[in-house]
Amino acid sequence: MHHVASIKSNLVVFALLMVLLLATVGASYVPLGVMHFPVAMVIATVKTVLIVLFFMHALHSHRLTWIICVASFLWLLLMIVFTIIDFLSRGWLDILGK
Amino acid sequence: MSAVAVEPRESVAVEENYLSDHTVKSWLLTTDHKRIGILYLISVTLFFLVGGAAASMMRFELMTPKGDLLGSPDVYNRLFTTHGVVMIFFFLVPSIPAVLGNFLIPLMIGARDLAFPILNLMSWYVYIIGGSIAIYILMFGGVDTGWTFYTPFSTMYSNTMVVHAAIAVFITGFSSILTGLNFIVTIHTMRAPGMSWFRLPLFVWAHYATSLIMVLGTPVLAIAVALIAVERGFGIGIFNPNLGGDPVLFQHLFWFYSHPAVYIMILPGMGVISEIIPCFARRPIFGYRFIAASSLAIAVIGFVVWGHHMFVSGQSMYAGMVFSMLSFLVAVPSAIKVFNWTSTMYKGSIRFDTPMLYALGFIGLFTIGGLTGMMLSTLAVDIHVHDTYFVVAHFHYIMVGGAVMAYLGGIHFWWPKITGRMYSELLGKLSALTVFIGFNLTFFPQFVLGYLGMPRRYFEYASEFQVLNVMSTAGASILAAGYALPLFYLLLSLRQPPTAGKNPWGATGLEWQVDSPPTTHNFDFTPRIDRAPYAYSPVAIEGFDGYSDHGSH
Repeated sequence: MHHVASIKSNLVVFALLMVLLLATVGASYVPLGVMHFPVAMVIATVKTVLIVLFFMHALHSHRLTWIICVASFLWLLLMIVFTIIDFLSRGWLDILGK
Repeated sequence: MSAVAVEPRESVAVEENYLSDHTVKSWLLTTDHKRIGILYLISVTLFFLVGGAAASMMRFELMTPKGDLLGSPDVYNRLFTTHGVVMIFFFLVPSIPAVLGNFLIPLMIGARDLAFPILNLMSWYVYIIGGSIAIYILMFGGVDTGWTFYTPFSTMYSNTMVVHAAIAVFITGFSSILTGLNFIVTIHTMRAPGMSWFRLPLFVWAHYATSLIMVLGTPVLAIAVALIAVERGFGIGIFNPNLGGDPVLFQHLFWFYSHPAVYIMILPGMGVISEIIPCFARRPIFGYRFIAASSLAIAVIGFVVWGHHMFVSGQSMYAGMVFSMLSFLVAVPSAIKVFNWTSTMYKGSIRFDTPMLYALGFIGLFTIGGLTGMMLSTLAVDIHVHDTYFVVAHFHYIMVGGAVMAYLGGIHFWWPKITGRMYSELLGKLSALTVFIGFNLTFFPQFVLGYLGMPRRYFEYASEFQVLNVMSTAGASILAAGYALPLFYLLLSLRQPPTAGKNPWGATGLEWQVDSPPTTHNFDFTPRIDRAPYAYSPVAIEGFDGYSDHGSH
């Protein structure tokens, strides 16, 4: 039942991660302006997905593990979204500090 | 619902209980969930004494308006920080889950241990490492930031051992994560045959919900305090506006964990109360599924209310409104529990034994704490009472009136199971009564003080507040006596022979069907569960044997 990943697939994922690492570093030298942050986040997200699916064995895990993985990211999203709600709506009222 | 007779258990006569091996090595290397529960019991009790000593010194200082006992406000700042850090991270968070949860969850679901016994022992060692650092900090300088470590004070101004404290909290958080992880896997995978989700005791449901919070929330606290250390140590701008940071961001990260942490402290207590009330009212629990679901609802909604700690922090008004409304929402599942416990007692045959007195105390005090929480969720009221003693009184009604009462109720309820001994019922009732009176005398005046405008965390105060402060200190003395009593008579009970029997309260839970103290492997055979929990009625109690032989030894 327990799936064991081959050395080859692990090496391929590792190589992909290294390429993405170079992409992150490279992107920081390209004049992307406001797109710097979104581009960096997209690359980071792809890296995260690769690590979760292959190195953390989520790809061949039980569905319950998938639920746990997805729920964890939803929780992270919850934290980020509510924090951003505060950050973005500061100053909407024309009162200092509100 | 069949009641199949239990087969004779030949091995019982020779099998020793989990306490039989007395060597130090057997305790320090144990992977038995019951022994690890005892290790936690001793550890959290010691930390409770440390945190209690700090509180006592603060209360004595506040007997008079002038700062005349401790000498300087810096000492006072260190004392309230010690009290907060120790009581929250080293007593309240681990108390019920790590002591009673560890001991009881496998017994309640018909398992021989938790899913990861070595990880369980590791969680205790991690806790001890974090705790040792906390004691080191206490002895060699202390911290003055309060348990909240608010920036920019903690990152830019405090000259105390902030980084050490961050490390202690960071490490101890992992103990909590390991315990939560162990509980989740155990409850999912190790339930005995027939123990469906809706046959689980509500204590287990409460711990399941608590474990979700521990696993999902604690890493954020670890990261938040680690970022403080990074900013202090390396000058990287996370929270410091001069370096491009945002001080309010710290409060978001901190409260994302620390508000749900309130539910880490109170949810297991609610689980304890859900076991005690039906047993001593001799009635099935009212609204089992609603109580179970409300635990999960509290865990989920509790994660989106944290901004109510930040109404005056500079957080946007719109975010404040959202957090205010969500905070009102989290009161619904809490109220469901309170109403259901009350309904359980309706027409019950109530016995006022010690655990029940503590449970009744919990319901009353938690209700006051919860309702004042509603006041604090209201934006305008909160702005008036923010950072006053009103808030201090409110959260002590939840954490001490709620969580500590439940912890003591649970300790008294399961003491015969844990040790095989009964304690003096007279002294037990006296302690419950003393704690209840002492608690109210300590903290009710603080509601009034806060509403009148006395700020929290102040070394000196205006003289018109003295009478209420003296009342509070007098109450704290009574409360201390109430807490000392159980320490005395519970330890004294250990001198008696273990004659409590399997089920001195006539309770229906699976844990009451095994020996007291239980054997090392809990069950001689895998139990088969063939009925819903809380089958409390005169008929069901009379011939109750709890479970049948599943045949797998």
